[in-house]
Amino acid sequence: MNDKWQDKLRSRMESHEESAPEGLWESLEQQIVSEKTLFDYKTFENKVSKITNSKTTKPVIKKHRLWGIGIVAAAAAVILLFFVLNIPNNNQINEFLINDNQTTSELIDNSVSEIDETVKLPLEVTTQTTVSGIKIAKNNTIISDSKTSISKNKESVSKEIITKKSSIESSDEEYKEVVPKDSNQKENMIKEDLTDKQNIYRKNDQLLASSTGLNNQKKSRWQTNISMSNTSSGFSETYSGYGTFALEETVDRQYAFTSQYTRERAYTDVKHDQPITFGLTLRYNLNDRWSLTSGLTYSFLSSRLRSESSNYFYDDTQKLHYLGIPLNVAYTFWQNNKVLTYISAGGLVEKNIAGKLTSNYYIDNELEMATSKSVTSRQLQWSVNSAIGIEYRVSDLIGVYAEPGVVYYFNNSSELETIYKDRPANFNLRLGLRLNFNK
Amino acid sequence: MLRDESRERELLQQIVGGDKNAMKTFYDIYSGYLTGVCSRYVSNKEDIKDILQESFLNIFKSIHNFKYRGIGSLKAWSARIVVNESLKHIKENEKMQLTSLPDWDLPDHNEILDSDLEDIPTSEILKMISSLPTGYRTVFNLFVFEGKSHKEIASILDIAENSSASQLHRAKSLLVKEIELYRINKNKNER
Repeated sequence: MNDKWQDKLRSRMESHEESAPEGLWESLEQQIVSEKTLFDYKTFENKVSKITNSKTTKPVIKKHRLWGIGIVAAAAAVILLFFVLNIPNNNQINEFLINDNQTTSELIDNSVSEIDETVKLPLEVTTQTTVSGIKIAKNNTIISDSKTSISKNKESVSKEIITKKSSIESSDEEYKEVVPKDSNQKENMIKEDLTDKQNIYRKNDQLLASSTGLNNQKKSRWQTNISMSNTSSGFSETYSGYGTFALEETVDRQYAFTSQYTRERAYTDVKHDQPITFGLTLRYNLNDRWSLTSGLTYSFLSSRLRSESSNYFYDDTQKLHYLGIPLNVAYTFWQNNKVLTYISAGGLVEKNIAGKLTSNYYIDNELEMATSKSVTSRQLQWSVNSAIGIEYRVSDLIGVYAEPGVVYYFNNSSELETIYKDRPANFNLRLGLRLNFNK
Repeated sequence: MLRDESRERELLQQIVGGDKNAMKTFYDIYSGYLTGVCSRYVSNKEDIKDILQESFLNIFKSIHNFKYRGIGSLKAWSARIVVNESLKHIKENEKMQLTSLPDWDLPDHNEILDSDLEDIPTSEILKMISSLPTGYRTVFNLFVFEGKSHKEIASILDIAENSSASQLHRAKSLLVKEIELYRINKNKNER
């Protein structure tokens, strides 16, 4: 094929000039002035440029940042709210318990004093047991039938106390009468009554104990976790031909760039670094076994890509920042004082809040061009995870935990090339600190 | 004209240093040529202006990474950025019409193209090229002016290799038709 006409046409075009569009320089000048700082290359010794390429994405980033700040503020507010709501609750319970205690002890005191007045002999025993309250009389071998009739209900307990009072009074009379006969027997009878009383106290104490227990549990229901996790490893692959992280608009540039030269023997290396996630979460213990965890996570993803052929290549570096909200359910299957083991499952939704793609183009190992632009993904990144957790309680306040697990990231059909996309299923290890409130 | 290599180097340094006057000088020297390059790919005047504006900004921003390799290297490098911006624009805004217009039974178009086109002003040829359907035009430009192979064009435009060849064939046929039409018109006007 004779290509002479092509050469001719090319050389004609080479020297051909068209008049530039009117007002081009003027609007160009405006942009140069408005982006003045971008053109200040006084410090360009390090050849990798820090050009913010697209002016239009700037406000978007700002918005994203604001969004990020908003999220953080919201999370902080939520955490604060939990604190605020939590403390008065406990106080109320404490108050209630104290009142309860007082009323019952008043009642008991009254009855005891009544006994006191009339019965001198067993007084020591009585006071001993009532004052100590929690102590169980040593000689309560005699268990009265009336004990069974003691209801757990407070009101009926009070009633019971009143009836007991009367019975004590009556027994007093009896005592008076029979004292000379057999003081020991009477003593026993009184003791019997006292034992009943004691039973009531004990019952009350149990009530107290159990409610205190509830109170304790309530106290530790909220826990906050600070965690860090990453996947078991990064991810890298090599494939032939050209690859890119870039969104569509830059793809063209890269293709155009590489296509200047032969496309043969080209290959692409992709390396995703281990994603790193930090979390600040709150754990709510529903009961001894079940708990819910939610909060805020921050993830950082970094990837590098290098497409290379014989004498030229380009490097892409992509850095992405995510904020996420997790929700996990955990089930404790074994625990002792120090160690707690549980399984956990849940989901995490993450939003890409910022990102940067830096591309360097090299020809003959010389940096030819460098671009840098913001990249973000609108799509939410959903994932599910499951883990086995082991927590060691350093003190009542602090526990450290490790949660090895698996995580699966759903494809969110974002244009961004991430480890989430290239390897959706991952092992990960979460390490963290768990703080118990109000303990 | 800045034909002097050292002067061009100096100009480069000034642009890198953020000198607006140097940018204006660069603009004055190359805007005509780059407008021509852009006009081969895109015909709409407004679009051309947008593309060129984006291209110049791009050039000024990345010029510090440009490796000067003598006279002509800056021009070629700048043109490459304009071509890339133009391709980007085409991909974003125009459908790559790979429509097959009917195959005209044209004489071997190379003969006509090989005949001296001296009678046709370059701007007219440019107009003819830019009036070709997008697919034809893009392939023609990449093949003839950027010296790309069909294989390369195929991967740039994400089309099959043989369809790049057929697009070029049709582009040439259309161009020949345009040239003949131009000559007929010209003769008519002269008469």
